[in-house]
Amino acid sequence: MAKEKPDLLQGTLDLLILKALQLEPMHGFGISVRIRQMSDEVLQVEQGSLYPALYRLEDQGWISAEWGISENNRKARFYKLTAAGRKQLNAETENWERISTAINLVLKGA
Amino acid sequence: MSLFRKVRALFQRRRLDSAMAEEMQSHLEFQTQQNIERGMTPVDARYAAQREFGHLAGIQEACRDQRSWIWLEQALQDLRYATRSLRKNPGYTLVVVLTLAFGIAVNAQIFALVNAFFLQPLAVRDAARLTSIFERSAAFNMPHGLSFLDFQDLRASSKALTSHIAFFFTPAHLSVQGQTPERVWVEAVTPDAFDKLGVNVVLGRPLLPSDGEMPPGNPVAVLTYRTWQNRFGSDPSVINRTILINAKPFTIVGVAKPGFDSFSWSVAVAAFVPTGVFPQLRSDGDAFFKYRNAVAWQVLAYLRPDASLAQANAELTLFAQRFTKDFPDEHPNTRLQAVPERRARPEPSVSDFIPLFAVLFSGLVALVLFIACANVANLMSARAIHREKELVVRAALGATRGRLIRQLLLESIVLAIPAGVVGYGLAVSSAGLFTQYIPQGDFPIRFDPPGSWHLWGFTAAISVFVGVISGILPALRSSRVNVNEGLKQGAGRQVGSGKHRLRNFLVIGQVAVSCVVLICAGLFLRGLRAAQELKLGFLPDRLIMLSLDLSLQGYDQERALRFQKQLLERVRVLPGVESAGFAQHIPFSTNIQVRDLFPDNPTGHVPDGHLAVALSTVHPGFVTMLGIPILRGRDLAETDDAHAPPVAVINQAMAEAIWPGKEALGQHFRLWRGGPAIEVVGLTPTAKYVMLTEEPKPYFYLSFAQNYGMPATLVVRAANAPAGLAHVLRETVRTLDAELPVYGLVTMDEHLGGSAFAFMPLRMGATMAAVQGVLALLLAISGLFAVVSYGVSSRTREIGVRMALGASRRDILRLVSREGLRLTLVGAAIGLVFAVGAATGLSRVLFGVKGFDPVLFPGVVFLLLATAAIACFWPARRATRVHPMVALRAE
Repeated sequence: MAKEKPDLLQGTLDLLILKALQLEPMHGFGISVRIRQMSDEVLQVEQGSLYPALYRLEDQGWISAEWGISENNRKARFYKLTAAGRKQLNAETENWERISTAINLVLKGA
Repeated sequence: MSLFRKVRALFQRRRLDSAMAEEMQSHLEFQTQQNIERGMTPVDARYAAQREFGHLAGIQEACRDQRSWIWLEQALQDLRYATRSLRKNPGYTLVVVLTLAFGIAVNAQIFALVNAFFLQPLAVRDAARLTSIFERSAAFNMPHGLSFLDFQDLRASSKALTSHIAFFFTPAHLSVQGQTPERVWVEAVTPDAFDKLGVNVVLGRPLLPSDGEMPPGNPVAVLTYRTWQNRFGSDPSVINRTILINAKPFTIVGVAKPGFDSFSWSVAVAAFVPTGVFPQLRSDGDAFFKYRNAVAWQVLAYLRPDASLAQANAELTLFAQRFTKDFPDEHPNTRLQAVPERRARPEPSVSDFIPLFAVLFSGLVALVLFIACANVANLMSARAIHREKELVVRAALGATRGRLIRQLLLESIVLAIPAGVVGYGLAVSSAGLFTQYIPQGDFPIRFDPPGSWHLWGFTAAISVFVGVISGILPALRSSRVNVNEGLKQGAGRQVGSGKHRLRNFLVIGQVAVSCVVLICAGLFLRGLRAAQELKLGFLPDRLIMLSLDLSLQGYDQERALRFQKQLLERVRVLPGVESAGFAQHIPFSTNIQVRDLFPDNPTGHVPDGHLAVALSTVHPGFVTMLGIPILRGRDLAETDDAHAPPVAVINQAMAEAIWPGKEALGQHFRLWRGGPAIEVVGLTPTAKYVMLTEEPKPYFYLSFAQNYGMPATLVVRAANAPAGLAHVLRETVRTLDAELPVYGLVTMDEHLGGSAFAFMPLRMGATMAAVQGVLALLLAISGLFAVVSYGVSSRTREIGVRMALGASRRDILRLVSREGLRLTLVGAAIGLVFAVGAATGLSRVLFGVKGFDPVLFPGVVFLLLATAAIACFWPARRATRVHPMVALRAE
C-alpha cells in the first residue's frame, strides 16, 4: 500500500499549520478548516497529510498537544504553538518569502 | 525527532494507538456535524465525512510508521511471535538448541585453550616484547634450558635483548608451624626478576638483588597469591614469619600479586626464592652454577625497543658459535634461539608442536559446528513447509521479502541464544572433566577455573553467527513466496528434487561419520580390555603406593636407609598388609632412570663398550614382592649392603643384549669406566617397564644400600582392598617423622589408569570417541528426521489421495520412509569402508586394536540401521494417522 503523496510540499504544509495555530490553539479538524478559509478555499489539506504532519511537528517540539473540550462539547485534541514553534514559524516564513521571490524573478525573467 | 521520544514510543504503542484512533474519530465527528449543518441526512453526512477523510487505517499506519524506528518495532514484534511459536513446538526447539549447543560448546572449549595459549599475555609488563631463550644441542633436538654461566654471558653482552632473568622450579618440602608438611614446587629466580618484569607484590616486598643471585643467598621467600590464600588463609601477618623449606628456615618477605603463579606460563609454584639459596635446597645445587653443561635454567628476556626478533636471533647464533668454540666439551654443536614468550607455551620443549595442534583442533571443531548448523538448517527448512500458508498471507498483506527474511532470521537467532548459554555451561563444566584425563605425573601444572569474559564474548558472538548461518538458507528459500499461487487452494506442492541433493549428501555424510566414530569407540574399548588383560610381567592386584623424598627433608644416606628399614618393619606388621617394599621407579611412571653400563666381556653388540639401560633402585625382596619371578640365581638381599660387593638383578632382555649365548649369572659390568664391578646375581623374565607397547626392554635392579637415590616409592600389597590402607599408611609415616610430606598416594589400578604410558590414552580415546559417536549419531538422526518430515509435509495431499485410493498404512509407511532408509544404507556403507581404513591405521598405533572386528562392525551397522529406522518411522507414522479427508483438504 503506497503512501499518498501530499498535495503540497511537506515543508510548506508545516509552515501553513504553524501559521494556522499562530492565533489560538486548535484541533485537527479546525486546522484544516482554518487553512481552507485563510486560502480562500484554494488549499484543501488531505487528512492523510495533515495528521502525519501534526504528529511530526509535535515530535519536533514546535507544537504541543492537549486533550480538551471543543465548542460543541466534544472531546478533542488541541494543538498549540510552543515558543520554539513561534521562532520556527518566523524563520520558515522568511525562508518562504525569499524562495518565492526568487522563483517569481525567474518566471518573470523568462 | 528526539531519541527519548522514539524509545518511549516503543513501549507506549497501545496507548498512542488508542489516542490516535480517538483523535481521528473526533475529527470524523466534527466533519459529520458540519455536513449535517450543511443539510445532509445524518447517514449521508457520516458517509461523506468518511469518504472525505480518506483511508483511515492507511493514514493511521502512516502516522504510526513515523513514530519510532520502524524496523525496531517490527523486530520486537517478530521476537514476540517467534518465542510464542517456539514455545508451542517444544520438541523442535529442544533438538535445535541441543544440536547448536554442542557445536558451540566444543568451539568454546577450544577457544578457551587457544586464548590461554596464544592470546593471554603473561602477567608481566610489556608481555608482547618478552621472549623465551632456549638451547638446542646435538644430543637433544628438543628445546631445553641454558647453563647459568651461559646465561650470565648473554646478559652481560647482548645488544638486542635486555633484562635477562633465569629461573628453575624444583620440588621441595614446605613446613609451616602447626600444619602438615607438604611437597610443593619452589621457583628459584634471579632476584632482580620482579623489578625487571614488573611483577608487583600485594604484601611485603619482592625479591631484591641484595637477596643474592650467586650462592650464598639470603633465605627469603615470596609466596604466590594462591599459596597465601590456600595455606595461610590470606593472613596479612605472614610477613617476617619463618617457614621451613627442605627443613631449612626461610623468612617470608612478600606475597606476589594474584594471577602470577610462576615465570613459566604453564606452571603454578608455591613460592619464589633467590637463585643464591638454590644450593641450600638441593644437594647438587652448586653444580647448577659451576658447569657449562648444567643446562637447566629457563631464560626470559625483553627485546630492546629498537631491536627485532630477527636481530636477536642473529645475535644468539653468534653467541652459540662462540660457546661451541670456547667450550667444545660442554657445547658440541649448540644452537640458541629466542621466540616470543607466547609461542613457547605451555613449555618451551613442546612449543614446536602446539601451533599445529591448535590449528588442527580448531579446524575440527569448526567442522563440527558447521555440521550442527547444517543440520539445524535442515530442520528449519522442514518446519518452514508448515508455515508456507502463513508466509504467503503475510506477503499478501504487504510484507516485503526482506521483512520475511528478517522475521525468519530472528527466529533462528532466538534459538541460537539459549544454545549459546547451554553451550557455555557445557564447556565450563566439562573442562572440569578434562582434568580427570590429564596424565598424572609429578609436575605442577597450573589450572585456572574456566569462564573468563573473553569466553563469554566469544560464545555470544558465535551464537549469533550460528543463528544467522543456520537460518539464512531456509529463510531465503522460504521467503520466495508466490502470492498468487500460494493463496489458491492446493498449496503443498512438492518442490523439485534438485534442491534436495545437498541435504541428502549431508545426511549420508553424517551417517557415515557416526558409523566411523562409533566403530573407533568400540575399537578403543576393545583395546582397553585387551590392555588390561595383558601380561604386565608383574602382579598389579591389590597394590597401593606412596612416595616420599628423604633428601629434601635433609636426611643423609645412612639415616635415610635406617628410616626406610624402620618404616618397612612397621608397615609389614600392619593388619591387612601382605607385603611391602621400596623402589625408585615403578612400572609406567614418569621418573624413568637410565644409566650407562660398561659390561666386562660382552658377547653381544655393545658399541663403544657401553650401553644405556633403564633401571630401578629397589629394596631387597621388592622384585619378588611385585610378583616377578626369579628364574635363576637369587633376589637382592639384606646382606647386599654398602660393605658387600656390588650386585644386580637383571632381566632376560638385558642378558640377551649383552651376553647372548652365555650364562649371564656371574657376569660383571660397571657404571663408569674403571668403576667397581657389579656382579649379576639374579635373572628375571622380561616384563613391561615403561610403556605398554614397548619392545622387550633391558632392565636391571640395584639395591638402595648400594645405590642410594631419592625420591622413593613405598609399594604395599594388601590382603584385601588396597584403598582402605591409605589412611593407616600415612599415619605410620607420620609416627616416624611428623614433618615428612607424603605424596602420590594411589592404588596401582589408579596409577595404571592414569598413566600416559599405560591405559590412559586408551581410556581417553574410548571416552572421547564414544561421546563423539553418540553425538554424531544424534546429529545423523536429527538429519534423517528432518528429511523424512520434509517429505511427509510436502506430500500430505499425495498421501491423502493414495489413502483415499486404497493404500494401506503399511504402504504409506514404506513410501515415506523409503528415502530415509536409502540414505542410511548408503551412509552406512560409506562409513564401513572408512571405518576399515581407520581401524587398520589405529591397529598400527594403538595396542590391542585389530583391523577388522567381526562382532563390532556388524553391531554398529545394526545399531545405525535400528536408530535410523526409528528416526524415519516416527514422522512417517504421523503421516499415516491423518484421515484421508483431512489430508485432501489440508491447506
